[in-house]
Amino acid sequence: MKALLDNLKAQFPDAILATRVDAARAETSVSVAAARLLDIARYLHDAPEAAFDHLTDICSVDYPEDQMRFEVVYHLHSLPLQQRLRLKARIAEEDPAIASVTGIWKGANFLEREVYDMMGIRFSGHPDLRRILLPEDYAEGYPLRKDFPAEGRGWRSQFDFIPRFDEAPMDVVESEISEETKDTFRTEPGTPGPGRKEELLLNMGPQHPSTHGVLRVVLMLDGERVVKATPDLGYLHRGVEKLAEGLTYMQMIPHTDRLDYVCAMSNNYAYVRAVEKLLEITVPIRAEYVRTIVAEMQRIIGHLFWLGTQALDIGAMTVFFWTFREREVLLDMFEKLCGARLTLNYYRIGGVDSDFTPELVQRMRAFLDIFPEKVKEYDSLIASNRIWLGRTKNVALLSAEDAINFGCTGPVLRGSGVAYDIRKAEPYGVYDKVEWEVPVGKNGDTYDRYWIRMEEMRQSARIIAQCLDQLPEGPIMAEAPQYIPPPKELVMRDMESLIHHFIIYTQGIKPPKAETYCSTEAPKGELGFFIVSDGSPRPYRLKIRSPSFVHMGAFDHMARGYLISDVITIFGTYDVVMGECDR
Amino acid sequence: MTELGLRLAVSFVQILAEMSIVMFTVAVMTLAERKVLGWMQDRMGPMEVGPYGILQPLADGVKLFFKEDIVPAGANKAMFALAPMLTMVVSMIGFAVIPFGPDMTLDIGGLTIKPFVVADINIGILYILAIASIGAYGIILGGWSSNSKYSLLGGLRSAAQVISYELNVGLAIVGVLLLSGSLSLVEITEAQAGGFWHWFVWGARPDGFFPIHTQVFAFVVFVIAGVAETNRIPFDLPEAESELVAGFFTEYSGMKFAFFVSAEYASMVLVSCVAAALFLGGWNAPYPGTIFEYIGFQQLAWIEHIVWFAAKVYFFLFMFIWLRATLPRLRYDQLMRFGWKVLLPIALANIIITALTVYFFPRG
Amino acid sequence: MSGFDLLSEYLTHYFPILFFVVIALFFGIWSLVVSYLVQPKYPEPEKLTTYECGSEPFSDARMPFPVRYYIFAMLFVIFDIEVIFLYPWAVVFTKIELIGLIEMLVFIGLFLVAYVYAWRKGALEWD
Repeated sequence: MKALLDNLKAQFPDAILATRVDAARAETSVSVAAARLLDIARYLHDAPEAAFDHLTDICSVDYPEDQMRFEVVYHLHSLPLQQRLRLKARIAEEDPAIASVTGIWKGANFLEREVYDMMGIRFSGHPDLRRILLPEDYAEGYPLRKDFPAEGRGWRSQFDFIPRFDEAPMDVVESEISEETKDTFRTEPGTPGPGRKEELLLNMGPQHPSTHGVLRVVLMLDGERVVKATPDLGYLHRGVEKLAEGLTYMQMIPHTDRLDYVCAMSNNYAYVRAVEKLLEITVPIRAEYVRTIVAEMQRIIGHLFWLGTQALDIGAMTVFFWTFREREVLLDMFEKLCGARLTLNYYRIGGVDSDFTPELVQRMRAFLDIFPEKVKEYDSLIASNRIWLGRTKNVALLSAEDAINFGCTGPVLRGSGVAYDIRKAEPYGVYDKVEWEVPVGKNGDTYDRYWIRMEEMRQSARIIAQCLDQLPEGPIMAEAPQYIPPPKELVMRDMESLIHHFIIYTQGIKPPKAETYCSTEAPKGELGFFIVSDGSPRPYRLKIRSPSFVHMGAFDHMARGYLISDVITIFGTYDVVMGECDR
Repeated sequence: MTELGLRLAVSFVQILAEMSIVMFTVAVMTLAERKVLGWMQDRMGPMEVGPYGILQPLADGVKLFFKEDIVPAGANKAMFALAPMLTMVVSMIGFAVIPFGPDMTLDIGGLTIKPFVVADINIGILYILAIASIGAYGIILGGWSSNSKYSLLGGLRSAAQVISYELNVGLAIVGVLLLSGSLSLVEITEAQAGGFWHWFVWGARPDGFFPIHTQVFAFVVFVIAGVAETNRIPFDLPEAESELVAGFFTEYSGMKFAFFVSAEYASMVLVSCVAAALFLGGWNAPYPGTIFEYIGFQQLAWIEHIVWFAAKVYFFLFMFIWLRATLPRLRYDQLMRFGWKVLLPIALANIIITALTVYFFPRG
Repeated sequence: MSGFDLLSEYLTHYFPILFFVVIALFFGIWSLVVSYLVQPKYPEPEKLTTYECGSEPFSDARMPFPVRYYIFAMLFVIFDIEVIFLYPWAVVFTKIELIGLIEMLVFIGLFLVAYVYAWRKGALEWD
């Protein structure tokens, strides 16, 4: 890393403004001049000693007091060299524009649109700079700017929600959609298309049985063949990142449940890990084991849910009910563990909420005994079914280069043959203390991604079994009085503890002034939290890098040329959850 | 009473009885489908209406009857109403030539009546084929008239399905015609009397047991194509709910929706009846004669025949449900490829082989 | 058989079918009309719009649509007629002896040639 920074300075002496190596958190950030960003980014992507082939995230931070008000943060990741770099560029308020890096990383397309949408930064050279999460006609400005009130500016109050009963029914439907709007969903002029005028623009979603929530995709069709697919996101946008700026670090945990609501534990885990990294807390070993067990349980649940819905999309409805049967067993265990089944709120900063009791260990072992049989049962319906193979093999092909370039992670990336799993690459929890393998696909088609998730369920079961065997005794919360409230029993009995508790819960915890990015392998892919702390009890900026959002950026690329039926399987193969995608 | 009047009255009773039986079977099927699917999927199916949910079809029917019928603006209103009517009527009248029971005759007021078949026409098979093709018009028309793109896509898919599978149905039947020498379903059924080895799916000669004239390939082709004709999984592309929302009947509600749904179930029953009559000996028991005959109640033998026919039909209906629980859906191009490149050659080869075997080993 | 007998023959056998059509139609119309009389009617612009997943439709659905299976449709029409030729042959097969068999084998042979030709030409490739 040191060599790389020196190299950078030598290459761009005037453009590198500052470098900062955070040894404690093992993070490196480089501040560069906005004008030279594109050159530096290209160098970082192309140079063999840098090889930052993966653009993890783009994020923006607003510093209203500074002369250069906006900071655009690029999280780069080099898969071959296994290193991460944070690239930062400042721009002024008067002309908030910066060069687009879509020419280098195609995945930047959606990420830059989000930055534009939220912070109003324009990316020159971006092919399709429109709002992405907020409505096209959103008139209130840019919500993540610090001067934007969290409750909005009253735009919502102008909506008329009451149905108009008094109007006479229409006889003819006149399309009110302008040609310009239609143009955004058409193929760019000059691209080889059907060459016919009779194109068909079809809305798929948000109210569609298999768009996995409220995803909307506008399909441009030639017969049933997709010429262009334009995802329209944001129907479930709740402004979680803006909300986070008004919440203390602990209050944010239940909000993370609502991101990927199918796998709430994974979100909790990713978030508390990021906060712990910021606070530099070490979690006791038993808590680490429990966290790993629970995270893998959640992975099994997430994959079961995915398998059921993917099969249902393709028309095999029985698999759905069978997977939900096993999911139920695990959810019952979650209920026993923390009282909730879906939005769990179980992880705590510094540990977990409640202990994994011997009874649960026993129930978990019983489940692991039957689980492989059940996976075989699902496979008996689909694994060797000719129709299933026909519907998944060679569908939605994604090459390894494209997968990396679009920033894909998780099973989507591994399906294309890239053996990248954060649990192996940057081990956390106790993933380095147990034996397991990372399944990797070959062709990058829907079948490979299906196979990988099936295999991951088996590997998760394997991890859990080993964790249960190794599960040590000990505390489940870290000792860090500054940040972690005392246990409830003490609060009830002991005056000091009560005061301690009171202070932490009323004032919140005050982390050091720092910034950190921490990524976790969620069932969908890399779930990252980027936290900028100004030393106050509330995060100055919290950016969620959600895998579903990044994957949707590759949707058009994957859907073109396939049939409507295949579009449905692509929704499934991403395992997209809109709560996480739209945030 | 004049002869015509009497004929009318008898036909009227027969038709009403037949329609009631079909509607009852459709109602049973809607419940059975949900129940059987439920059991196959580790759940209960409907349980609320009546004991074990057996009144569910009634509740569904009443609900649909009192439901607002929404005609979308921009729809072609006449066609929009005509399409479900057409589909429903067509799915009903196909039953006119199905022999439910033995070829008995009754004498009522000097008229010879066949109680178990409404119209014993000598081209029953052709009639069924013609009716089945018209059924697709209802779907295409419904898809087009809704003025919804999902409906349109569903209707067009239906057209593709018809042209790919109708041919296979027609070809699969030719083998049966070679064995029976008749287009009348009554005569075809009668030609299969005397034990399961005389059924055309086994295909023994009238005096033998060896399956020299077996139509098992034609049977498989016919059943697969039949599933496709009725738009059932794995061939439910025109309505594929995970792709086209509800396909051709996306915009339909209330009674018109009920027509489409009941027509689909009725055509399942029809296909099952035809398959049973053509390949599984219709109302013939799998052993020679009937048990009632052996124990001396010859006049009650028709009950046994009807029971056997019903058993065969319900076997097919169960298979429809079973397929739905088991298989994923084909894609458009796969469906066409399967019909044209797999089923068609099999059906053609079956005709040639059957013709040769029938020529060299005549059926006496 | 005199003309009158033929008519009466048709009447006996085909009349029930016509009658069936009438009754089925009556049943259909009756259900529609009665249902229409008892159902609630609250028309409202939003309710009457075409369903397109909750978004405003881009255009009318009545538009030229590229039907990709046009060749299939042509082949279907031709082959279906050929299949119909097979029916009378199959019915009287046992009565027309060897000459019938050979004739029809030639006919099916022609059918096969057309089929193989279409296959080789790629007409059976979708799209």
